[in-house]
Amino acid sequence: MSSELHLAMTETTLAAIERVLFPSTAAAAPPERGLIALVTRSTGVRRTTLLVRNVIEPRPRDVEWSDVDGLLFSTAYKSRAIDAANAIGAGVLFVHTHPTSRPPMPSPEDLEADRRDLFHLGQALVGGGVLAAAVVNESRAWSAREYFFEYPRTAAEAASPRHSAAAGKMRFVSTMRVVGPSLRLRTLHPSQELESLDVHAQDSTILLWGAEGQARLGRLRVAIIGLGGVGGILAEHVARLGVGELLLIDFDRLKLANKNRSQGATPAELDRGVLKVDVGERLARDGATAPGFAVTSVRGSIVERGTVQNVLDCDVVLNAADSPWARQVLDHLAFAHLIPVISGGSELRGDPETLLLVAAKSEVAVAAPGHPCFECAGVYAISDASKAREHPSVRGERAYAKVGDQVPASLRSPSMISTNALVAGLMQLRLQALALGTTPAAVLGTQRYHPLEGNADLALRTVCRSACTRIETSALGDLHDLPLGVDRDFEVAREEDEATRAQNAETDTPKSSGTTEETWAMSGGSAGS
Amino acid sequence: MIADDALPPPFQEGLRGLREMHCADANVAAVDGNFALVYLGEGPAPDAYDETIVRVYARMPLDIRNAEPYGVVTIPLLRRKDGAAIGHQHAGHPNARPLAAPGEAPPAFWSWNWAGLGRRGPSDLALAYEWAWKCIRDGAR
Repeated sequence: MSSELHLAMTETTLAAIERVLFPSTAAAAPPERGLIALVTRSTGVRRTTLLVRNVIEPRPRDVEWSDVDGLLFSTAYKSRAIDAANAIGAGVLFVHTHPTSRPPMPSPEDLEADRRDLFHLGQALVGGGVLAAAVVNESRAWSAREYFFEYPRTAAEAASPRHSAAAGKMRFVSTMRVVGPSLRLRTLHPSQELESLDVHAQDSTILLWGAEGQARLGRLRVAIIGLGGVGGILAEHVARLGVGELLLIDFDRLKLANKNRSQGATPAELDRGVLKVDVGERLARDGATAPGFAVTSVRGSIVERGTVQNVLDCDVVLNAADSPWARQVLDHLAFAHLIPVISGGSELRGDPETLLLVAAKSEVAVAAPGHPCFECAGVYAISDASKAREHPSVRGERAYAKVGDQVPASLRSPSMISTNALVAGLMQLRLQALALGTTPAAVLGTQRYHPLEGNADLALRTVCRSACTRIETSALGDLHDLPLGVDRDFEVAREEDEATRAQNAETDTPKSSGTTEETWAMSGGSAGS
Repeated sequence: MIADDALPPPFQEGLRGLREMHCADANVAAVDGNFALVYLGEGPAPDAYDETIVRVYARMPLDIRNAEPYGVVTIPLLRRKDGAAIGHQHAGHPNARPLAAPGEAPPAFWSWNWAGLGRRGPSDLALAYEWAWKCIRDGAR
């Protein structure tokens, strides 16, 4: 079992819950109100997140208050919830209010009732779904917990206290994430409160958004996918901004050809061909301003199962990998696991004769409930994501930086540090807009800079196309199959490493080194440009 | 041959549809990275070819709901009676290599992009049958 437990839902779901719990026209309001919601699980490496999918709308007499028994859900209501949960393999969450502004901790009576009711409901769930309960107080503050029961399989076990409702184990949710046009993290448990800020190292940004804004950044766990020209800049800058924790994913090694855009890479690192994630990790550690900052590097591909699970530990993703398949996987992940993804990249084509840029654009977009999906926003095309599944030796016509009908002869797209820095800057501004609300007008849509014209615009598409079904996968968590597979580029990189190793063994002059080398079995991520 | 239960459930569903509609002995002959080579049966080659019988395979993405098919494989390579080259048929292509067997005629890869199929679901497998034969007919034109 992973060590942390979080709760997440969309702004729309939270609003639906609050509409039931805090109706605007409550003539004779009962002391407490309640509802049942469907909940799924998102399983990361060290964090499980309970995702609230939707409210089972209570009908008249479904939820009633009794001075003797407290709040009661009708049998019909519980049956409807079980049917709805079983239809998709989900679990159930009981939510009820406390008529107070004190911290919303469950009373002993709540705990007893939860165990009794959830134990029985759990026996009717077909897929071993989540069983959870939450309390919301008058200030709309939450506490939540998950229950685990050992159900009896024999008559002897049925008589054993170990297999009773009272023996159910419980653990509390530490953090709640609400995802929509903005991203809000709420600490639900005192153990997760941020220790402190560094008022010296973070002086300038605290002046901008205050201690609360800085603390919000400090609570964020951010994944950066692709540590190339854009991702390398992001690793350092986001750490300097004060983000509390970073996860870096890439499988590629530095090459001399990357020198023109690998900010912070030393000549020795370029010469040794170290892993890009290792350079990013060093830059992030050196630049971090958040007290207790932590960074984890994974050599892997985001399109592979072992690696993508690491991302489920994060609150937001910055995607700097230019593979359309990586963008497709992250698009699905953003909706199914309620983790917003900010993706950025450039397409460039120049004319060496005239020195003119003939076609160029740099753009940044967000995928998450409350935003359009990347497919609808044109961040990737299915045909390109399909080609990216091919082995690079037969990809042929595929090129990342296809502009119009022109395809560069090389599979590598042209890149330059000036547009990389621009895109990295726009991505950070979007992160601030999401997490802090610094620029609410620029939180939705695709931001596009046109170097040829020297201007920028914010694309109009702020919702998905009407035929899009991505929102239906919202909060499905582990129940949704991400479009994963085998990254043939990573396969080639591993073969090259093997060849280098064999060559080094022959000459007995080891060339490569890298602390992440040993973790590559976890797989994942696409090379940044 | 790959056992059905080793394939993703939507792919298994598509395979069942393909067997019911077109080819009772359809199966996955090989998996190559993210693609499966699906056996669509053996049939008479169009008159325009020297060869009379051809075995046909569709190259379908394992993640059939999120990726598009690409390519047809035939055994053997087909040659036109009029001697004209077939632009989209390739000998010795890596995408056909998983079907190469010692002592057998070498397979041919047809770079068929399936434009227009694109429904992205298990039913794509049943549609692949017609499309693969269309690819071979097009080579004869």
